[in-house]
Amino acid sequence: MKKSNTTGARKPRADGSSRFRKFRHGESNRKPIYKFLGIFTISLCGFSFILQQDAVQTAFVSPHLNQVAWVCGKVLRTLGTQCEVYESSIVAARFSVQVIKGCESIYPTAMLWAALLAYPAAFGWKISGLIGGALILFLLNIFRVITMFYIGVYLPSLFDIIHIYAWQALFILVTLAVFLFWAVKAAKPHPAA
Amino acid sequence: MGKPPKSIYRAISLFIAKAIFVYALLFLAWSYAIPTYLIVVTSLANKELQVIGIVKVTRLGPTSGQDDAVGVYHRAAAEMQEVLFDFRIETVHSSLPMLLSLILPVSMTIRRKLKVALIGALLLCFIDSLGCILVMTWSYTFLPDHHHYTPFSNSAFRDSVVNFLYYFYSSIGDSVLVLVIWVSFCWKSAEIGKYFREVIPGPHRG
Repeated sequence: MKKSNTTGARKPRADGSSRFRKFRHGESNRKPIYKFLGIFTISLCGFSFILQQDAVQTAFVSPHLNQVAWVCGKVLRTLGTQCEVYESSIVAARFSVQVIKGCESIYPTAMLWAALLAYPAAFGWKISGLIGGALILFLLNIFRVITMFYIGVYLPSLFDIIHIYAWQALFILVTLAVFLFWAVKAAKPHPAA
Repeated sequence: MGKPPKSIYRAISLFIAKAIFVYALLFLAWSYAIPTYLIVVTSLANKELQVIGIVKVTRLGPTSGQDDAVGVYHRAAAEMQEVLFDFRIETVHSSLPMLLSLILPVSMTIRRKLKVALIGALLLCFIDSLGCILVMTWSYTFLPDHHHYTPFSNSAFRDSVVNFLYYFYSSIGDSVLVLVIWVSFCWKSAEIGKYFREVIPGPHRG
C-alpha cells in the first residue's frame, strides 16, 4: 500500500526546486522537447491552413494529383499493364483508381517539414532534409498508388482495409523513420556521448 | 567531427520494424474491438455534448445495422429512434492501434508500458470522442435545416472553423496527435530518445 501524509499537502523538495521552476529557468531536460512540440504544432497548423485555401488547392494540390496519376500511369505501362490516365484517374480494363485529395504525400510531407523546421539543426541540413524528405515521401506515395492499383485488380476485397489502415500507418511510420534518420545525421553528438 | 554511432541507426530500424509488426497484430484484433470501442467513444461524446449545456442536442450512438458506424440521432424523445445520418468509425480516424504499436516496442518495464498504454488509450478515447463531435458538426454544415440540433451557434465563422478542423484532423491531425502522445510519454524511456537528449542541447553540424 502506498504511504501518504495525513495533511494531504505536497512534500517540498529538499533543494526547494519544482518542475515548473526548473522549466521556467531552462533547467528542465524536457524543455527542448516542449519547444520542439510547440514549433512543430504551430508550423503544422500553418501548413494545413495554407493547404486548405482554395487558391492553393487549385494552383497546387489538384495539379499535383494529376502529376501523381501521370507518373503512376507511366510506371504501370512500364510494368506491362495497359492503362490510360485521365487527369487524376488511372483507367484499365479490369480496375480503375482515382488519386483524390488525401491520397497524395502532401500532408505527410507537411508533417515532416514541420518536424524538420522545429528541430535545432543547421540551415543546410534543414534544406537537404526538406528536399530529400519530400522526394522520399513522393516516391513512397507513387509506390502506394501502384500497389493499391494491383490490389484493386487482384485482391479487391482487401482494397479498403489496406488503403485505410495499412498504408496510412506505414506512411506515418516511414515519415517518422525519415525524420529520425535525418535528425541523427543533422545533430552533432556531445564529445562525451 | 564525430559520426553518430551505428548502433543508433540499428536502434531506429529495429524500432520501426517492431512497430510495423506490432501494428499488424493489433490491426487484426482491432476489427473485433471496434464495436466496444465505439460504445465507449460515443458515450463519452454524449457526456461532452451534455457538458456543453444545450438542451436539445444531438445524441450519438452505435447503429443497429453496422458494427463500425456511428449513428447521429436527435435527442428529442419523439425522434430518438430515427438515425439522422451515420458515419463509419474510420471517418473518426481512430489511431489507437497505431499508438499502441508505437508504445509497446519502447524499452520500458512491462508495468510502465501498460500504464503508458492505458493513459494513451484514454487520451485517444477522449480525442476520438471530440472527433465524433467534429465529424457530426461538419456533416451538419450540409444540412442547414438541422443546424439548431448542433451545440454551436450557426454562423459562417462556425462553418469555416469546423471546416478547417475537420480537414486538418482527417488529413493529418489524427496521426500527429498519436506522435505527440508518444513523444510526451515515451521519449524519456526510448533508446532513441536517450540518444537525442544527449544531442539536442549541443551544437549542431553546419
